[in-house]
Amino acid sequence: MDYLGQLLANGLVLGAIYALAAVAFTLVYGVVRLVNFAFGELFMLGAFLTASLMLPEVRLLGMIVPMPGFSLPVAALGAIVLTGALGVLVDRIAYRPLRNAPRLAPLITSIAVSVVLQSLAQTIWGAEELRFPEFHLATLPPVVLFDSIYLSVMDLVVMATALAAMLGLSAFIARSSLGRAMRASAEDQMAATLVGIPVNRVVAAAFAIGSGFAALAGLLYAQTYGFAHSNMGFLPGLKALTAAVLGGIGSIPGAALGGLILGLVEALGAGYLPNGTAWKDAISFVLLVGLLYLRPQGLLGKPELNSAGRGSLLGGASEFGAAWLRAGFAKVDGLLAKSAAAGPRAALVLLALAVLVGLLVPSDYWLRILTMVVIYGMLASGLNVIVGFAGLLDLGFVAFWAVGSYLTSILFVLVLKDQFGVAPADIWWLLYLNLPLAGLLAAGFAVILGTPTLRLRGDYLAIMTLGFGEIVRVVAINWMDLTNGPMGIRGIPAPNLFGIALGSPRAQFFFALALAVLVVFAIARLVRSYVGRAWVAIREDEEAAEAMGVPTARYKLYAYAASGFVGGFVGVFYAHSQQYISPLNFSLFENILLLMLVVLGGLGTFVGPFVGALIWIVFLQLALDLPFVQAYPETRFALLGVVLIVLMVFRPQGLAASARVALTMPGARPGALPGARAGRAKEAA
Amino acid sequence: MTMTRIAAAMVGIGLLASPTMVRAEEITIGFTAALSGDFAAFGLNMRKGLDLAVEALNKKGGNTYKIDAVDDRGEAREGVLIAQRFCSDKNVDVVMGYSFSSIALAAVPVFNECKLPVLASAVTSPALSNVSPYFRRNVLTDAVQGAMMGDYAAKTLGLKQIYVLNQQDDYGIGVAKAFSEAAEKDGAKIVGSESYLLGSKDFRTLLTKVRAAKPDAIFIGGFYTEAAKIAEQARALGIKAQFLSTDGALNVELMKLGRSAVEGMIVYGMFDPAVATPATESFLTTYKATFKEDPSAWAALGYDAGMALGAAVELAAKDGPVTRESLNTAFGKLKDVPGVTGPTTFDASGDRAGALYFLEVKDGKFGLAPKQP
Repeated sequence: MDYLGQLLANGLVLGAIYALAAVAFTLVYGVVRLVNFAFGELFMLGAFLTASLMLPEVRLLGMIVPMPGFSLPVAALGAIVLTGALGVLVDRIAYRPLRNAPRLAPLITSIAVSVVLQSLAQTIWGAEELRFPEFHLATLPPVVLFDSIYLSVMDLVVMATALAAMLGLSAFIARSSLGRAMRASAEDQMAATLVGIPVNRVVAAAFAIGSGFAALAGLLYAQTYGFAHSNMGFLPGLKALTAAVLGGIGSIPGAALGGLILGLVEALGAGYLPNGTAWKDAISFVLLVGLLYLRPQGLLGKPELNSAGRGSLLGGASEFGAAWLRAGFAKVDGLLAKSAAAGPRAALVLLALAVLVGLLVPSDYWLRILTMVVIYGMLASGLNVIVGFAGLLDLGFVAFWAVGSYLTSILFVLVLKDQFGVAPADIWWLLYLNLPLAGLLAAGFAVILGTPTLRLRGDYLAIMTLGFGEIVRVVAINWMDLTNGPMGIRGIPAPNLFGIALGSPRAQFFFALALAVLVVFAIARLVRSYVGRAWVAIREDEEAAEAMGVPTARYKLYAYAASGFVGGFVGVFYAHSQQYISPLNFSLFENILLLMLVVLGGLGTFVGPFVGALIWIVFLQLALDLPFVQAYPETRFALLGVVLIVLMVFRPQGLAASARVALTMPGARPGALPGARAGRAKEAA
Repeated sequence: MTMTRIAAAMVGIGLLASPTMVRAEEITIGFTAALSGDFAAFGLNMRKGLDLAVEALNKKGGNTYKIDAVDDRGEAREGVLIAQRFCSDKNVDVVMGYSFSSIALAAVPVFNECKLPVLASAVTSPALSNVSPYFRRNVLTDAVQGAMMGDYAAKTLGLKQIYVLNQQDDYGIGVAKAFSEAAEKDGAKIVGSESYLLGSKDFRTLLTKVRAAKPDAIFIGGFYTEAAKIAEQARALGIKAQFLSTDGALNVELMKLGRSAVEGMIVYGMFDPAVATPATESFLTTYKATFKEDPSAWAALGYDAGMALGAAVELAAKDGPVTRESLNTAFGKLKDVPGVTGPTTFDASGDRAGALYFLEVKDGKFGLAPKQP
């Protein structure tokens, strides 16, 4: 009993914090339909600001700065107001210009904002954790219930604060005029504008309140666990998002319920399962996936939020994009459109260019970078099949990649070498067998994962696939007999062909290039077939496609399978080119990264993923040499985030959007067929 | 960018080829570690230590040293790229740093290819022993350290019921396994073991489980960030067991984060900030004066790595120009280079022999534990 009681108490405290942060997601989502990933970072800033305001002095940017030394309530209020203001500022700069942009663009900027804020926090407060200052209530002896359940006084304060804040917000939404305006905007923005509601101001208010809640959650979290750190927001942010979706995104009681359930399930799961603590992140995602399968709209959510067709991911890019075009982009566009029209010729020119670059670049370092560009370009192409062509936002793609990499590594190293003592050089041909084999395995896996998601749309789908991706990663870490766990698998042989080692950077580049030709060619053929047309139909309007007799479920599964195949296929080569893999290679961030590459380059294009990969990877490597970055390493990602935001704000449809495969009107562009292959050449951008 | 590199490479090759000009003047250290992102603290500490060493070596005259720092952000994909970056840059004579064994493991095949010596300071995975003739480290493997701690806990401290917690990565698993085996051999009972993911903040549930097992000691195989939180949350749940931890917890930040909860925690490490030999004394004062904080074990190891490099360069310079190859040979020949973590000698497996100090937190400071083996 005391064990269960203590677990319940722990779960309640955690649940209260999740619930508060979930309110932030739910409120903003309700009004602008945006999953604002940056709330995790606002959560973190709330903690840092409170801690700083409470200290007599704090070290900022390496300098000691005097601080007011407020008590916790005053400091908390200050931090909440500051964070709320920052939230409004972020909305103004990064989201408002994108209100009418393709739906993925603000999602990407929210991730970019999150990267910028996290890097800045690390620059300002340093890489070490900041101890949360002592508050006199926290020094009181703990309350002991039934002789065995320990709760600190602050735990009670946390729960009471959460409850009060949530009740207050509900009353505010229900009674105040701003609250009414918010509800109206949530129902129908256009109608709200027509009846004279200043929607932009309402949205700003939602951001302010949401950010304030995130800050409150963050500072309570920091108080409870005793520290503030620049990465502290990521996982709680993800959990809060999960909680919001569990409860039904857009519903405030739902957020409270979702947070509570998540906190309790985590505590009980971790408490009763063997080695539960290591598995607990998977537990909450399993819960999420299960619930979304049974009840797609969440516990208290409105079914319309899931089923309402919200248009395609790419919706109206050209229509809205025109306003943001700058002369430079227009030139790029012209070039891209021309090359797309030129078809096979352009593709061959680009390929020839890539080969030439591969032959002429003297530096092994740059060859490795270009190999990485090709690998990430291929992976992003695989993701592009499902996101760009079928319009299903998939955040779990990285799992298929992991399946491929692990299959070949386990076979080569753990089974054949360690168990049977077969030298990798003797079985070089296995690599070529593994390529399609891993592809098929990952495709099968993708279909299994895809089946339960068929009923979900848009952001719900994204969250569910994110859950799958995380589950696979946690399994890869914890199932040590299969994957060797976090120690990873090393000694994976470099590619080899008839005894000729292909381990040199140049050989690997050409190997990757050859695979890329295959991948892009296969994707292009597929997209140009009736399957691709069905995908695009689903992407543009699922209801209409269904009504026209497209069996959407089947084609969605085809999309999963195709995308999974590419992931597994490329994963095999990735493992052999890295020669060492560990679960670290397959984090959620990698998936977000791939998504960014696709969006950056242009969804639904063949060349886009490679353009995105080229820009991203080359930028990161070039930035390494800036003296400023050498002195302040964490600014490299802040810089990257800023570049991303600027690109997205001015070019939400992606750099290569004009090369988008025109399938919406079949036959409109005859002869464009093999233009598909344009994707391979990286130097094109 | 590429052009400058090519040019630099040409000059480098030219210098190497010409017998009259000896290229021993400037030694470039390629330094890589997680310098940003979630786990930047270790890498930044190592770098601070190395910076001090480089400063000291440059002051001494003779060869000059410079650092080319590259951030791997703790991301595995960067491992190979960074390794190749150093390999292709002919100015780089030696590579130092590394926060994560997994990244070092990914990089080793590349260094093998270009025969660039590596001297790492914070990677403790046993998988890195004998991994390459070019790879060395000046930190003990977690297998050796964990076993020493297990002996110490069971024999010297006489603890009987121990609960083992470890962070779920190569470091935590390795050290916890070695600890458990050694402690059980010496008669202690491991009453339970659990792992947690690096970066976890909430340990209450885990500790509720621990509390039910009523151990008289808890071994935390992990870093100071988690050790401090575990200690604090354990005390808040009314757990009174003795805390034991590792060199990952040997960091002045432990006391800042854990405050009174970490009082009495016993950790081990190759560096004892309380022992004032003349070498540590000057390191401590310079470090404090430069960075306005106390050095951690990683800073000490980074410093010692720099000093070992200085000794190796001197040794290599005796027989002609300092090249990657001659430097690598010199590393193998080093014997008892004095340092703040004790003398450095590398054995054939690339590991370093060394002694461990057992330290106890007392009044917010690490001091030699009253009972030593």
